[in-house]
Amino acid sequence: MKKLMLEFKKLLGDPVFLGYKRGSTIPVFDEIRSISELPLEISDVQKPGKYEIVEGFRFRHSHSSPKWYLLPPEQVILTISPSYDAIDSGVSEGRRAVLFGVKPCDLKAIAVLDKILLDKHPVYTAKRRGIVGVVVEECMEPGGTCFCASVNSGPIVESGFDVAYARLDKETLLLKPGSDIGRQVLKSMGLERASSEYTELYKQMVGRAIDSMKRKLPDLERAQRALRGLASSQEFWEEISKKCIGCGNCNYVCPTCFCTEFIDRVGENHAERVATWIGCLTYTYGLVAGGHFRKQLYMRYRHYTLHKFLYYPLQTGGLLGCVGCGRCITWCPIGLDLIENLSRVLKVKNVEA
Amino acid sequence: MKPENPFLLERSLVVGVVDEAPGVKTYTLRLSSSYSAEPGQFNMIYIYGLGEVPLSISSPPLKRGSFTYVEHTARAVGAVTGAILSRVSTGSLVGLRGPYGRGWPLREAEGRDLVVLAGGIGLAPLRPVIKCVESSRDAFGRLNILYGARSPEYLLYKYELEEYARIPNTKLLLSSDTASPSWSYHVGFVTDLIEYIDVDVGDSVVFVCGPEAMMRTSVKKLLNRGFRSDQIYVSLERRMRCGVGVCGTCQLGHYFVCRDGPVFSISELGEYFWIEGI
Amino acid sequence: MLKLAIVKITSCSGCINEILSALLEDDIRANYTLVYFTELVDSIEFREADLAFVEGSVTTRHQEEALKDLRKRVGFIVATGTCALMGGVQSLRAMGDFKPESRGLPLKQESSEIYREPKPLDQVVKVDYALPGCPINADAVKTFLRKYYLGGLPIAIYETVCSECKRRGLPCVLVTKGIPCLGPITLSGCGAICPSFGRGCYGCYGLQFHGLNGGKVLSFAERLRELGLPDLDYRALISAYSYAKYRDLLGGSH
Repeated sequence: MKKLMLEFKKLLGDPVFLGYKRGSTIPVFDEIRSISELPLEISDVQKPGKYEIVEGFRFRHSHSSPKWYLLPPEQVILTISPSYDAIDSGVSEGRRAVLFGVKPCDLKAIAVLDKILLDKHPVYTAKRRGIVGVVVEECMEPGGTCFCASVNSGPIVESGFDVAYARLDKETLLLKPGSDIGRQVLKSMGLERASSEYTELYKQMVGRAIDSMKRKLPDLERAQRALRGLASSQEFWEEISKKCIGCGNCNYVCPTCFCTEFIDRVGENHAERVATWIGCLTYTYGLVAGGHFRKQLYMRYRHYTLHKFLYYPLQTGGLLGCVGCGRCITWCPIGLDLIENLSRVLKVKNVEA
Repeated sequence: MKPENPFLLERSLVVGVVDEAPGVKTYTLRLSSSYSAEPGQFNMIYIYGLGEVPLSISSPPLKRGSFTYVEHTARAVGAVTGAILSRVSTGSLVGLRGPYGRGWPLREAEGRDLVVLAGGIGLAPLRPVIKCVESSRDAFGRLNILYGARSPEYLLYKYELEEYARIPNTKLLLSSDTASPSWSYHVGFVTDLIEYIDVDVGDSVVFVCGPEAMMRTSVKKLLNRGFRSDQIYVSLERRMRCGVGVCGTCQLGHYFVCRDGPVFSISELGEYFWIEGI
Repeated sequence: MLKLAIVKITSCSGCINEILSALLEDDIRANYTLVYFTELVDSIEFREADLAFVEGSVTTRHQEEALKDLRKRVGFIVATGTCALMGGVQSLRAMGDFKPESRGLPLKQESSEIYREPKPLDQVVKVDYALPGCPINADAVKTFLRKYYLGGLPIAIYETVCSECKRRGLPCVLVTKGIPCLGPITLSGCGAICPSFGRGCYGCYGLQFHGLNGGKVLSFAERLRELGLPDLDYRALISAYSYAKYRDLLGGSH
């Protein structure tokens, strides 16, 4: 792992490394300064409304994600004087960075955000253009709330990376290149070609991972058809969102949620315009002076669900807004389970397979 | 490479203010000459320290010398519009960026009849349409203007409204929800006027703007009168922050109203137009 | 120069400290003058003011009458603090066996003069703006005063403490440690102070009631119960600062 990092450093001219970093509590997406900061010796245990770090070697992710870097929670987009002169345009060049040890779901989420924000949102664009390398950790054992295989975003990657690795066990790393840079890196590392014993084991583990997740949501297209048919059913959405309290946690932890609100801060002699994450589950979403377009919580819950499964594909040329990371399930304080709700969709709306 | 910041503002001088109705004023802004906009588009107007509001452009941009002038009609409803109405006057500065969005499909209306249907402040984004038809009158067929407000004093552009009737081949129908002694037009809802529309239904387009409930009633009645859903266009209001389709707060189904709209045909909107809160 | 009054009813002056802190800013001091404030300005009466911060909840008939009179003389009233918005911590008495006499309150007064349930300001007078918090946050006061002077107001954002907690990147204490936390149903504005120290939010900014109903509050309470919080405690916890809203959603809970 250390070698991998060093080779990237050499080849790409000392970039910054960004990944899940061990801290005093749980790992968050941040700058990695040394290999010891990587969460290599811990596992997460994830259940609806529950997250725990234990000893192990299967860290998937936390509430944090690459979104924290690419589309930060608060972005100053303009500083302005009382006479309307721009003091600071707020946009600076992105740092040259390598994403290190991100998961397949994270990578897919970036692909989704690219379709919405790249070359349109200045902060995202600057940071995104600075990403010069991608190292992915494939997931050999998905977490308790993961379902990436059901939404075609994992547990392994096929494109959009330089190097991907899989941890077959605590010590054994299987690496594959995904680009010329990746091939060069692996070559300079002087690695052996993996024997069939290892590649077979890899295939088996991937197969098991996929099976375990597919069981959770066997037929995505059927669920999408059912959702389409239920869009106008107020009764259904009220029922399914009955326990939701509109706190917005699912929005903030979702690696593809991109909505921001512009806040105006005013100081003694200048004002700042700050783009701040906002959640579509919160009451503000749809509120306008003199009215509200999504006054009831069920309307916002419906938008959240339909956006992920029906509207993102229309906005991105086919990509789902859900990457199956399960964060919305884990970090929901009530423990509401999106997958369970999708199964209920199928029960209510009997659509053919 | 540093990307361009789409949120930079142009400093703009207010050169004129007209009282329109209680809590409603029209402001003339002076901009650089390179500015241009289509009918139905909007600008984001920024008031120092308070924030931005999307305001529809209510006149065709007018180039004079080294400047372009545009008008905005604003109603005091929130924190920023409230400040505009109470503080902005001739000589004030405001920040502006735009124009944004997709406006009225005037080209589609060329050679066909056109119905303009507005309620209350909904006439603001449609006024440039009327002006454009007036200035290239031969390019369009018959023009019907249907406009109403809750009472006569709430009608916009009273100083020129009746002149619309003198545009050749034009029918002007006005309404007020409440009667008043000097009111000689229809008393009732503006949607009542739909039955008096006098155009070739099969070869016309309709532009509608007003409160959401009024637009729904209008569209129902228009469909009943035989207009197809791809002939009817509405201009929608939503919470809008960025104007360029990245902040996500204006989403309606898969549309970003700020970028894909604010003008949509009813056929484009499909069920989004009818399901409350979607 | 705008005339400012600071009026205190049943409250602890914690919010007033925050207002004073905001008034120390040069630009704010240059634009506002304090015309009434019992703890600082000698005058005990004032004729009129552009703006009044009213701290506290209404707990006596006398206060109610004074407020109605105030409303006539002040252009803009800011309900200041969770007490003024939702009753505040003194509302807990509404859940118990309240006898004013036994608490050493003036015996001469009729007990009907003292309200069993403290009233938020908006039950008594029209309120123009509200600042939640126990206490409120000086930064919010500064923002408000600056924007008010510019002719506007801060744009309303209705969010929970979770929004601030997540934007700060803090690990959720409820999900990671099983600590009962009211963040998910509490108005934002504090910057998620308590979770940043690893403890649960106790709701001092008041219930984020928009979109909530009794069933939703109970489903959240059920979750707190699962985390080991006894029934009585969760009721006390949720209603401690926001009794008036809590009662609206769930009815009187004794």
